[in-house]
Amino acid sequence: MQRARKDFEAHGLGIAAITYDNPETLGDFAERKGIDYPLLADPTSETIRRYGLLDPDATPANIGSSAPNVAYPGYFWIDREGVVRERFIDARYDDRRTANGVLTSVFPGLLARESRTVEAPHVAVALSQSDREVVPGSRITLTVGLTLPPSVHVYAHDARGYKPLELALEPSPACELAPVRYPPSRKLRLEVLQEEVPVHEGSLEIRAEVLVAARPELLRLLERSPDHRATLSVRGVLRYQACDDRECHPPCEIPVAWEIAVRELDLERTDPSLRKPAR
Amino acid sequence: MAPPIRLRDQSDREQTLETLAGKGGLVLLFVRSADW
Repeated sequence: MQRARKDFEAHGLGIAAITYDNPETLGDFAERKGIDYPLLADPTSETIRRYGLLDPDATPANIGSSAPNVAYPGYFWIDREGVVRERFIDARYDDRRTANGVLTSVFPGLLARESRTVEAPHVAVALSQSDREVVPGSRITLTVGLTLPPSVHVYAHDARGYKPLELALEPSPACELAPVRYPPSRKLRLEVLQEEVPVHEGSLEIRAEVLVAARPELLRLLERSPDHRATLSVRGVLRYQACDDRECHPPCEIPVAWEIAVRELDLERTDPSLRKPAR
Repeated sequence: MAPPIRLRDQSDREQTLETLAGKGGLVLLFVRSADW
């Protein structure tokens, strides 16, 4: 969140974190970690409860502790009038969105800044990712952006009887892949064939969420690495068939790949005198 | 509407939605603890 702070502020968003810690514990943490955005102390968990994120029983979502009344992991985007615009609630602390992931969900165009192009016929393809470096347990978003020239379309992912748009990612031992998300298609009337076919035109994005799972093998690798870092790759193939108003070109298969840098979890704790007692 | 916020931060300053939000609002991150 600290690293993403400038991006949030550039988009007019303030940021803050809330925990059940007292201000002294938060002050110690902020000083040790160089945090300069507000950390809000909610030691009675009353505000956490009012936001509906109180875990009274230390459920499996709050792994590694028996402490009651902590918050479930999540983000709220609240506008200046106090209206909740979006909420992102994560299932577990070892499977949660990154701050950049939240920011790019709210402002999808942000990812385009750091995209890289991939050579592909008939369409422009650009790859991007919400985060370049994460810790185990982070869920990030990988994006394939396509820009089609005017009067060019590709068959949509839900087209039947044609070569549909498809992003096929290879299974990875270190990453869990969520189902790929495609944008809505529109129906194109093919007069010659007297049928309507779902297609994509213009600019579109295909998104895939990837969890860098906190598996023992990855954690051991990070521990043993001299700089406590590792690089994971997610690879796949983008398939599509592009047509213009005169012809359909042969189907294409374009290799795609992203690299994700992973650093070790920060397990440093506060001074024992500042710790909240466990149950 | 979001529940009101009136909490002390790490520097013992009282913070509210009005003091925390930018023009576009506030992104509030819920974390179990700064300690673990």
